[in-house]
Amino acid sequence: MSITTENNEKMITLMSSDGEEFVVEEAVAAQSQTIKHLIEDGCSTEGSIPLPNVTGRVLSEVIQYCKKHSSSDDKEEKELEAWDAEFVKAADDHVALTDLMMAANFLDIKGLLDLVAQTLANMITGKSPEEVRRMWNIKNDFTPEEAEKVRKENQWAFE
Amino acid sequence: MPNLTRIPPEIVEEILVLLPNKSIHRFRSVSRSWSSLLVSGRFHELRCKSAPPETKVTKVLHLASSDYYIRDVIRISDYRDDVKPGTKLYTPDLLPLSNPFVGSCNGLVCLLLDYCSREIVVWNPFTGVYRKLPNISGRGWAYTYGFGYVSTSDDYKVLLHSLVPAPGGEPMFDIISLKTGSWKQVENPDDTYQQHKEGSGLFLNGALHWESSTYFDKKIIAFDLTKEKFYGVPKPTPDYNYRYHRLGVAGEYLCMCFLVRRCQESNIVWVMKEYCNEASWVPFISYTSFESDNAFNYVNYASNFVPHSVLDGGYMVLQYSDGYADILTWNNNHEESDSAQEFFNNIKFYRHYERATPYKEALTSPYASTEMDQGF
Repeated sequence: MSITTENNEKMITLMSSDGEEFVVEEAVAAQSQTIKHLIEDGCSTEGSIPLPNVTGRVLSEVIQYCKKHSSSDDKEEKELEAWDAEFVKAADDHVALTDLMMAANFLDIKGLLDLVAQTLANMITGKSPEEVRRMWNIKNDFTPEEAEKVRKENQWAFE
Repeated sequence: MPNLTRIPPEIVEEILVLLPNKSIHRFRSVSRSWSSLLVSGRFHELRCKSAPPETKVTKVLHLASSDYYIRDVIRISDYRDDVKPGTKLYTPDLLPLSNPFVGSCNGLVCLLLDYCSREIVVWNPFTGVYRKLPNISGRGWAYTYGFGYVSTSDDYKVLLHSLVPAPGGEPMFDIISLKTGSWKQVENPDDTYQQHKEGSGLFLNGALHWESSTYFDKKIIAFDLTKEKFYGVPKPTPDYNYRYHRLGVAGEYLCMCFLVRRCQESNIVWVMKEYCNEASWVPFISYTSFESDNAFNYVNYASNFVPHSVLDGGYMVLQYSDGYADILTWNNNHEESDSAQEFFNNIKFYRHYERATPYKEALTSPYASTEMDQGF
């Protein structure tokens, strides 16, 4: 469905994987290259755009980001940076941030992707390999010999 | 916690490229797939694009009386004194030749330790990891050689050519890929390509480059490491007389240094702004020969040097014939100029006059490409 607001802004509806619907201005949604291409290909004319990889909770955060970034111009760069910092802080933990990053990746929103990547990078910089494995459920698949070899090669960096 | 946070590889990459060296090094212990990702040439190139400051650190690897030293180019004010005890560690346990440097790229340095038996080592001086390549003997004296990265296959290749044939043999080109780890012969190319200048090919744009000494005089000879084919690159055509010219690399550009005698000897360096476009050659910088006050006392000290690489922060490594190298500082605002800039006033040589090669600090491994196959 295509709704037009009083500002004559074209509206589109996005549907999350869990069936939640979000009505947003096309200009806001088009910050996602993926959505932009879907609109260009005429996928938005019949009802809403389904986003099967993104939950409602994550999508609402993404839309928040896109709204802020489509209404701001370059002059407000400082303010926007501060807003970004608050935004990722609000995302709270690495699980939420990882979800957000996967959504940003799927929706192809470069600014958001970079922002979250940097936040996660800062988060893990000082962590141990074991902590990182736990964060993302990564299996330690080294054999004891391989683990020893890698440790040996790395040792110098920590002397 | 439920398994909600499993992280897809493309997301991992986006995050890891932003990390500092130390974290990257530590995270090699996370898992096999992380380990092989973090030391790959592809990852290194991604990192350079997203540009954490550390990837910009260029070091110069010196060879002084059979020991390798690493000098830090960033702290150039301390350049002379920057050889710390300990930088000799992690040296390949092999006696080096007077000029063993085949080339360097992505943080790896390729060394040719014996011209006859062709003992070749690929070494990461930062991590200390090195790999001896299989010997290839019976090919005579290695005359022309080069080392470079092939981005399409995330691989490195070493090319060797013997001008003097082995007894009963023909001059030939041999090439080894670090991924396959074995030598093969490159189809004997056209005769015109055989008269290479001696020495190491300059790596740029996925290819090695040499000046030709004879027949192919109008072109620079290049070898495409992906296609494994030779081709010609146009030379600049200055409208003044010069005594000789030498090939170099200035940043991202191929450059050619002309020695010109005016009131005194000057070097004028041209750069090719668009690869393989003859019309894009422009004069870039010039420097004047001057009297050196160092022990070697080369009257025309500068005239024998060509740019080897332009480094961040306004430094340039100059290479003397035979692999001797030095570093000079220069004023960096020349890029947009169409005429050669005099930068004699800003020039500062450091006069180590040792065999040397610059390299970028990186965690790349000479084994990276093969680790997957070995299940590691």
